Amino acid sequence: MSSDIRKSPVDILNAAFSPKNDGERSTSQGYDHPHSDTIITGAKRILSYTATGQELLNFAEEHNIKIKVLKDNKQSGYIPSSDLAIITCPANQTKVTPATVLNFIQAVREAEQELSGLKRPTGRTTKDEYVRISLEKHEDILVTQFYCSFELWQNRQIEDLLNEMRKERKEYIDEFVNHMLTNQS
Amino acid sequence: MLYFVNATDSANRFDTIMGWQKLDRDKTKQVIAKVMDQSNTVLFNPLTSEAECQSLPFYRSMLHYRITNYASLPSFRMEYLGDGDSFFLFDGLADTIYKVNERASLSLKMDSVVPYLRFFLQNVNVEEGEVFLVEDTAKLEFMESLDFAQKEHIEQNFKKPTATYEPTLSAFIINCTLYFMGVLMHTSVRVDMDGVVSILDQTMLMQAGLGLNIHG
Repeated sequence: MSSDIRKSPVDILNAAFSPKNDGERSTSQGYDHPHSDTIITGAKRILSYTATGQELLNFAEEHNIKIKVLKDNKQSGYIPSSDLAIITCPANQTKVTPATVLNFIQAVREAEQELSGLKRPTGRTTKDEYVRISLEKHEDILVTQFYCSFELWQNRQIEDLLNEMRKERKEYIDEFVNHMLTNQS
Repeated sequence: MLYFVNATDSANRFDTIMGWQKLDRDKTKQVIAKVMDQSNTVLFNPLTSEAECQSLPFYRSMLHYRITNYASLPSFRMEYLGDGDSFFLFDGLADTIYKVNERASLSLKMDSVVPYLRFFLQNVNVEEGEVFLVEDTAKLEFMESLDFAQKEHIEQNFKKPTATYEPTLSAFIINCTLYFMGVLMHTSVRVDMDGVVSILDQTMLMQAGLGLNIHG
């Protein structure tokens, strides 16, 4: 069958839901993702196409931030006590995806925040400070992700990261893009 | 070691735990010790992490656990199915859920099969995008961008999930509306007694973004 024939949604879902025979089962115990190296290499390559991404990669290298890909389909983050940036991907993911690159940016940027003094709030933080710090950290990650996405589009005409960000906040991203384009000229 | 064992009722090994229940410090430590492997002991420090669990209506001998490490912000969380002794990480694979089903005394009934399907779709990764079981059209992300006629079309054609048992197949058939790859579609979903899910057919109700009504 020609590869350009699009599969129907039903075919795609049934392929994902069907039980695999024992030889194909990959529900092995353990957290480490079987395609960790491929995913990290892919994310680094994409980020290296952008100035903001390259700065993140330089930071991670200079500060020996460990980056791990674990099997999970929920979250990514940075654990300060062990200098560990964690990216999670579904166990059946074989390569880097736009969502993975955004998670990579988030995890490394969180590390950068901690080491540059924008530390997480503690139990002794006042409510107002807690709100301020949380929002600042969140916004900082979002803007960093946006800059990488925008630069990738500008430098390489690859819009996948921007489109991934648009999935959750289309108006916000479109406004951001317009702002950047307007201020470039 | 098993938690929440109801020793007086062997048919229901676990007391039902409605909603998320926080485990105390000792049990949190025990759960963390069980779920960690040697290469990833730093993921959850018992001092900065919290474990919670809840019952799921279709498992008699497994609970849904989540462990959150509050040392990071946003906090870092992983989820598991476990019986207190064996834990299965949610890794996005249908096979992991099927493997749990074999060990967890899966009990599908008319009132638990739709919650099972919802749980399954939320936790199985499909590379092309998330799959949503639409139970309330107000929660569809693109509804606000539609015009009045399109909204009315969806409201009139949307089907709340309804389950029937088909004895000739020994399976449940759930008629429902799914949202996947930008397509809203009516489907018949087959759920076998061992929890294996398959889609039998589809009728596209609407393709988001194109503004087309693809019906019939």
